[in-house]
Amino acid sequence: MRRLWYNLKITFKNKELIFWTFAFPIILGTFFYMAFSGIKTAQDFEPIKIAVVENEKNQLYPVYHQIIDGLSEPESENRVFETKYVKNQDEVTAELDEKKIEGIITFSDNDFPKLTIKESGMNQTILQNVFTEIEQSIMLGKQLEYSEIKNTYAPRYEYIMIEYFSLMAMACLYGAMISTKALDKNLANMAASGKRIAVAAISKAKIIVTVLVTSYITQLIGLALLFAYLTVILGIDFGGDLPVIIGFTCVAALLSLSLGIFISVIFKVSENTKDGITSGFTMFGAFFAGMMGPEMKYVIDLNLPIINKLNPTAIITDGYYALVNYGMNERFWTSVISILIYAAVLSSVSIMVLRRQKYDNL
Amino acid sequence: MAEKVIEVKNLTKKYKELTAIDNLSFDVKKGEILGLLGPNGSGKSTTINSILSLLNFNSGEIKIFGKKMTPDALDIKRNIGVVFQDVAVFEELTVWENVNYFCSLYISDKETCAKYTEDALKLVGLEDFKKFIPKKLSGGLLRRLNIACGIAHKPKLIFLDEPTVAVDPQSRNNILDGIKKLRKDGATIVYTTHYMEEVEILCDRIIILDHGKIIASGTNDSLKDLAKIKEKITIESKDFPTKTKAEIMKLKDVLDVKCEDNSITVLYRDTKKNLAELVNLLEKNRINYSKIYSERPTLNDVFLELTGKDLRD
Repeated sequence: MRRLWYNLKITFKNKELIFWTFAFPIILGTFFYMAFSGIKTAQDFEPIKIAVVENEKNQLYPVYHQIIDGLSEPESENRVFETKYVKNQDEVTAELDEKKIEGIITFSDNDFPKLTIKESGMNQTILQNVFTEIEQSIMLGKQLEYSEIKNTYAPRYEYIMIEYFSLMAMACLYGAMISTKALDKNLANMAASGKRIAVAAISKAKIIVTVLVTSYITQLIGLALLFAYLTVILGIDFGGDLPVIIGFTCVAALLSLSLGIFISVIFKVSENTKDGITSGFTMFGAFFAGMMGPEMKYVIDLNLPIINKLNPTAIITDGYYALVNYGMNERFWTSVISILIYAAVLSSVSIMVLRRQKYDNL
Repeated sequence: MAEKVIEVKNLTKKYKELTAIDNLSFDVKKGEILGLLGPNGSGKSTTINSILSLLNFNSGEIKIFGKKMTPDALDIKRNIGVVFQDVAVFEELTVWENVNYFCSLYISDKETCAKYTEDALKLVGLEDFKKFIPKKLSGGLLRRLNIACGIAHKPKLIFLDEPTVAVDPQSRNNILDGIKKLRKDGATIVYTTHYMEEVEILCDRIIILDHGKIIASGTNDSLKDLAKIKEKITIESKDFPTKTKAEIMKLKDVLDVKCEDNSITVLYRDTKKNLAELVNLLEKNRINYSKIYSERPTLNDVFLELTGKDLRD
């Protein structure tokens, strides 16, 4: 217990570590809140204003035309677009420049319809994604449901929640820094204190267990603070079953714990480089999981699903998403099992390396 | 015959092409302070790290307390204390907590551990700095803390790897006094340094290492007996005629005369009446000098004679 207490003190007094694992996710959460606080429900979604240039070429793509019409139906709850039909593109070019419309769709006889946009932003991204989805469904001869389009691409509350889920996932994985640093202090080739511990009359297993418990407690405290900040202070509604969300977070923290140990043991590099590896891996993972824009997750899921099946941040994000939106269904359990397999593989490799670890030089 | 605490037989450690320890064999007897003396890179720390099973070695056998030393030999490790060359403390803990933490790796009883912590701090003279964090300590005090962390559990065998590197004279004296106290309390000590003065003061037996090999070993006196030089007499004078130097060279048992800016040093192969004869010669030649003093050869002289280089090269 004494050693556990000292290890906790050592961890909590590391200001840099506490900033990145505790404060940084809270700061990011605050930014997300400021950016998305206006979007609360599906009803808040304003249809995206577009223009469709009508000419004789439209007849070449009747299905395409039909889908756009369907998604533009004024009375429909699946409305995504507010569409204006014009005869000539020149009529609306000025409106696009003045941001009165977000995009122009034109038809030609030698290619698929063309989407012209000027700015980059959430509406433009949605527009592009819907456009791509329509194109692919036509090519595959797939029947498109308007409600599916709306639910998938319109920035509804659940959609925005991906940002917060991936933030929680990122915070979980940033916790890997805690176990990396804690273990490094106990490895003879990483720290002078590690040399002293290596010659002490205490088994390696006891030392590692203390490191794991310390790191896990610290991670859970950080995640609890972040979750409390998001839900209590910012009022983000995670919905779902709170004990299960907490349980899932504890499982997700196991993955970061094993990731941290893995990075500490496998990479024979400086402490700063290990931090870089953890933050780089996590941030890229969070990017692909949709933290910097939920559309990224869909693009990856659509085109390169293997990336997010292997991406721990995406696995955790998906677990939260499934849990909050659909409860403990198959998708949620797939995430839980994936996390546990990931953690088991990383831990097993680390333990094997640690058991064999002898030093040729110090 | 005293019990052997450490037995090292034919220890060889190579780093690729470089042989860091070359077929090293030696024993350390119970209660003695063994000095491992050698210049930087001579293999002192590598020897200690190999004995402690921290490093792989290519061949050889190491026994501590009569048992084979391995990384998992916790019963052996329980009686070993190590003070590494690098300061190995936690910046986040106070002086007291650091010592208590490392002591707790050996002593499970909380109260005993706390008492041993106090004893260790007293031994190194850090009682007044208990609540300080390491970065608030001077270099010398930090070294003392490093020692306290290594010896707090009252080990029977202590390895001190250059514990006085870069410390002020006051801390150095304190550290050396502490080591004498540990020895008085019955500890066996292996002390590595490249400061010959320290081994002369502390060690019962000295092993001089160079390029991972033992080039000489014995007591302070027996090692000095290896030197051709038996006495060195230094004369401090601003004006020393060349003619007189030639006369000195002709004196009995003079090996060499070395001139520096304001002094000359006469090296003798024997120690009989050298100073009296030299003073007579200086008076006869009416040479003014500010100081004249005699010294025994140092271990550095021995090292110089054996290797052709200075210990601190």
